[in-house]
Amino acid sequence: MTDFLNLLVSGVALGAQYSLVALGFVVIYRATGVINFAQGGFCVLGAYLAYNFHNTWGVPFYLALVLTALAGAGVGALVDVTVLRRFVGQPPFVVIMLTIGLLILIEQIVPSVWGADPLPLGDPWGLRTVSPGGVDIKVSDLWTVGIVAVVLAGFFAFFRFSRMGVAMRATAVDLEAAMAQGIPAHRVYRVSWSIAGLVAALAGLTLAAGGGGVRLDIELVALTAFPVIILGGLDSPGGAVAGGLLIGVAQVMSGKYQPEHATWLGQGFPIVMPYVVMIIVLLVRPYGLFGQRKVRRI
Amino acid sequence: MRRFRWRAVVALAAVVALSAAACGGRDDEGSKEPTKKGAPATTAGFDGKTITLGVITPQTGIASIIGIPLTKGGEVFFKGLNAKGGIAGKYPVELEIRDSQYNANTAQQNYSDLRNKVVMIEQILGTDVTNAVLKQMQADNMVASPATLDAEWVRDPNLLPIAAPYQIEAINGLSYWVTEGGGEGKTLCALASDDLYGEAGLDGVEFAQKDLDFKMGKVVRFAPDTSNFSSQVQQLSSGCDAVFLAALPNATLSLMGTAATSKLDVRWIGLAPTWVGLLASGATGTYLKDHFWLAAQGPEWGDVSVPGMKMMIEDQKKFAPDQKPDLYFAFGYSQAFTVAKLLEKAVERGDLSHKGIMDALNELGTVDTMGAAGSYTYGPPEDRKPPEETTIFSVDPAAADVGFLKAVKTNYISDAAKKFEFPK
Amino acid sequence: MARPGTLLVTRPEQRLRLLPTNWYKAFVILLAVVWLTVPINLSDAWLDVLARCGVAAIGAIGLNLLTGYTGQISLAHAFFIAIGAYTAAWLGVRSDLPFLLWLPATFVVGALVGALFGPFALRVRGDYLAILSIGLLYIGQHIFVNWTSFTGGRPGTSTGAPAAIGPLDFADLNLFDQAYSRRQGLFWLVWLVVAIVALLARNIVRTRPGRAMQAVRDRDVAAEVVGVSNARYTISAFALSSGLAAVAGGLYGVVALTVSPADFGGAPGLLLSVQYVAMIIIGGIGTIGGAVAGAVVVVAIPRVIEQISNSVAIPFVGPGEPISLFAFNNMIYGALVIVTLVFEPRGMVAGWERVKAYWRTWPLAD
Repeated sequence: MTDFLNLLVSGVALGAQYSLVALGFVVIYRATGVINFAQGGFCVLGAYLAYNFHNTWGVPFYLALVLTALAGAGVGALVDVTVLRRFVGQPPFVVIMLTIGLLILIEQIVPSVWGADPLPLGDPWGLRTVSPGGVDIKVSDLWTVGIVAVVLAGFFAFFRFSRMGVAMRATAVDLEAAMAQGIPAHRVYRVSWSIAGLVAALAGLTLAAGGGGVRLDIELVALTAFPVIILGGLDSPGGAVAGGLLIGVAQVMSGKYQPEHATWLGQGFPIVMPYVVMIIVLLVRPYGLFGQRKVRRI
Repeated sequence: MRRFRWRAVVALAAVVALSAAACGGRDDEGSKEPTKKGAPATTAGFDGKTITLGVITPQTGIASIIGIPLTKGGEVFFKGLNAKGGIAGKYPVELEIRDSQYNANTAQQNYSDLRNKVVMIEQILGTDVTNAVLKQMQADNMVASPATLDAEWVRDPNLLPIAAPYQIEAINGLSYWVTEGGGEGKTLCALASDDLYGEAGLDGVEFAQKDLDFKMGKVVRFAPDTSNFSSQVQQLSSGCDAVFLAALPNATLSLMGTAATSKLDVRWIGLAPTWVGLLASGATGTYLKDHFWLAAQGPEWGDVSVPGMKMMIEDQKKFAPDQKPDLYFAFGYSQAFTVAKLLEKAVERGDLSHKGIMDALNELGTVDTMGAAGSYTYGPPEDRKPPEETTIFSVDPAAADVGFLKAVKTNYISDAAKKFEFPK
Repeated sequence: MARPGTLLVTRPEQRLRLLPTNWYKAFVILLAVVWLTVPINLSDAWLDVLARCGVAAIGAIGLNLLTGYTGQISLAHAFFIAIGAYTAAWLGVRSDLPFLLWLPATFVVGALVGALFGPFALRVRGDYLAILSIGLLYIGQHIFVNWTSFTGGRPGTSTGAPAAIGPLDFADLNLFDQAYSRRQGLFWLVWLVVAIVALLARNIVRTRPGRAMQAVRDRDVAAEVVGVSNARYTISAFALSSGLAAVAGGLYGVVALTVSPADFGGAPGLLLSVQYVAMIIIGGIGTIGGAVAGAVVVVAIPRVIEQISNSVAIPFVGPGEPISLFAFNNMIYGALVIVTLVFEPRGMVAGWERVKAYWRTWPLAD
């Protein structure tokens, strides 16, 4: 039983990391209808910025965490102002391609600045654990879950109560109608990219914390987040979190139980598992668990 | 009428172009037979003065953690050699480096680009990447030195591998554990990545099991891009006294974090590519200090009692003073050392053509790296014999000057490793 | 006979002609001459790059039929290319069928597998479909690694299938007592297939099925109302596109001599699929010529950048400088993608049309 609980806890922690990455995708998709392939690049950049704040400039860790989030938001805004704002109204396909171009650039800029070797983040969490009731929980995992909870609460409050949040919801429903109401689409986009950058930087930081290290392959987590965002529904923040937790737990569990009970599925099945879950869910619910059905017009 | 004319024009153009084509054929063989003994004839990659070698290696992307220091090691060796005049004292060496991005497709294009510009491929990194260009190399009689330790390379006529293959590393590591590490009669588990490299390691484990006194426990495989190891660590948490590990650095980082937090009390025995310096930092380093041995080639960094290491440190201080201690740098240096021996042989035979280098490889005999990576016997493919020595390292988080790796037993050859035969 | 200028289109047939103007005819002849003479004048290294461009062009034409004309977004193209490469290895290498049999058979196998995937597109739409198709890449990777009798597992399988049409063996060409290298022969072969595929694709898109596909793309429900079967054309488009991807895969095998899951599965597969999407977007979505041009640019540009930067000194770049030459090459590539899209979001073909329109109407318009 303790074994099972331990696995559940680490599945939830993994899922929380997926959720953070997925939230970034969702924010941009809601506002602009674009799947941002550079999201993984933003995560890597966030991890290295955190390294810079904490190790190079010696900022205390928790302050560095806040600064990293802000810097991430800055990166998002910068990308929007320099490149993406020229593309409002272009087909989403073109903008997706553009984000791929951005990813290629970030992939090269990061090792040019910080080198290719993995670096220690030096977070105070390290490998410390707490053990309530015999279940080992990493402190860094607790923080990750906490950050996800705060971000999700922030999302809820922002979209519900703030003027900008409501404006963003309106643009997501109908861009032209929203602009006709005097909602500044440019500002909406800039805020969306900033939020995505902020969330991605936090995701990168949590991935590098807890002994993982600041390293280039953090961006690969974005690939695992694809099934997560689809599972929850591309435009649903709550769905991103639910999907993340579901995939995280399922992946860890299948890592343990598939080799013991279902060897016929072949070696390395846990890696494929999220995609299998995704395809099954999509066939039953074509817009994910919580996604909005699109109305098809003649 | 108009239709007819347009066909005639096409036909005419075709004839013109075809007759042009008839004068533009070329053979696949790039080089001519040698003319006289002594000075090799000019050929692809050799203009009579300078020898050009190709390098196909990841210089960007995730695998550049390995590719960059590896290439640096080769460059430093050749800088040292060129300062003494070059191959055979008169032909300096130049490297044409291409960035494979660790991608099979890109590597093939790198190879096509290099094949008529270089004498041989001095270094190619990655099992998949090497496999991807091997067929083309056979067509061209090209020789390459792979930077992975797969056993399949041993008998390949086009390849010049160096150091003891993974199988031997595994056998030596386990042998050390059983004979001197208190592993006698205990249970060994294994955690191996689900690819050719993991398979090679498990081959060695299987062989060692027949020869050594230990019990075999669970064998767990994981997909190479696994990033969360909690389920694997949990599977290993009962019934294992030691765990054999075949993984790549990225996986080891995640794995050891999880193992340390779960306080998994086992003796880890890892193959060379599991290591990356970051493992020695923080709490993971404290865990590894007590629980991890690395079975890898070559002596401790800076151990000048070994002549091969002494030579490398001298060159490194002169040509790359900023270089931090790095296993891959040392590997790249030994590899370049071996390549230079092959080229010397080819110069002595008076033939630097692709075919000439292959012939030289068949006649090369034993290359002694002066303790840096063992003595490898080349010659005809069926007679080739890799070295059998492996150094067992332990982790010391305080020893930055040796790359955090302290040699426990330098150039160790176990009895079991001597018995291992590579399939002919 | 005085003919109306090309600016004035009075009948729809004019737009639908295969070669609407004499300029087109001249252009086709020029292409034929270039095709014949390029292998004589270029080095083997560049011919290899161009043969790979040709392979990519076939795949890109296929993807364009699906994405550009039918509006279905797929990132599973690498999966179908893999199917083609493995089928060619099975039929061409292990069963030793001749070129004219294994290549069409590869198309059929690819098309059948694609048709199986088609129904998913009827249920799952748009961006959801795009990501669903990424799933196919990972499941494909799993199958390729585990189904060793068909794929050779991780080490891969040898794919040097026969490349002879009748007496002409393109892999070892001898014409008029003149021997040609393998890379010269393969250039001719690959681009011959590109020409045939482009012609077929153009004929499909300018006739009824093509118009039906575009109707499905623009207004699927409306198309259904006027009697264009959504299911039929979506599934056909998937079959056609995967079939062409498989042909590209088969030819890729001939050029590469060996393939493994490292070429097409999982993350490398996603990279390859994304490159194909890049080809049709940068070339010009919904045009056959755009797919070909995009393929040439996307595949060849990294090599061109490599050659140029190897011979030019650039400040802050190089050994000992902050930016390595290799990182710089990739940066330029990324920047080129962005800059191209900033100046011409609808691709190179749209840019070309603009230039053409400017000169045709000069000096009347600006």
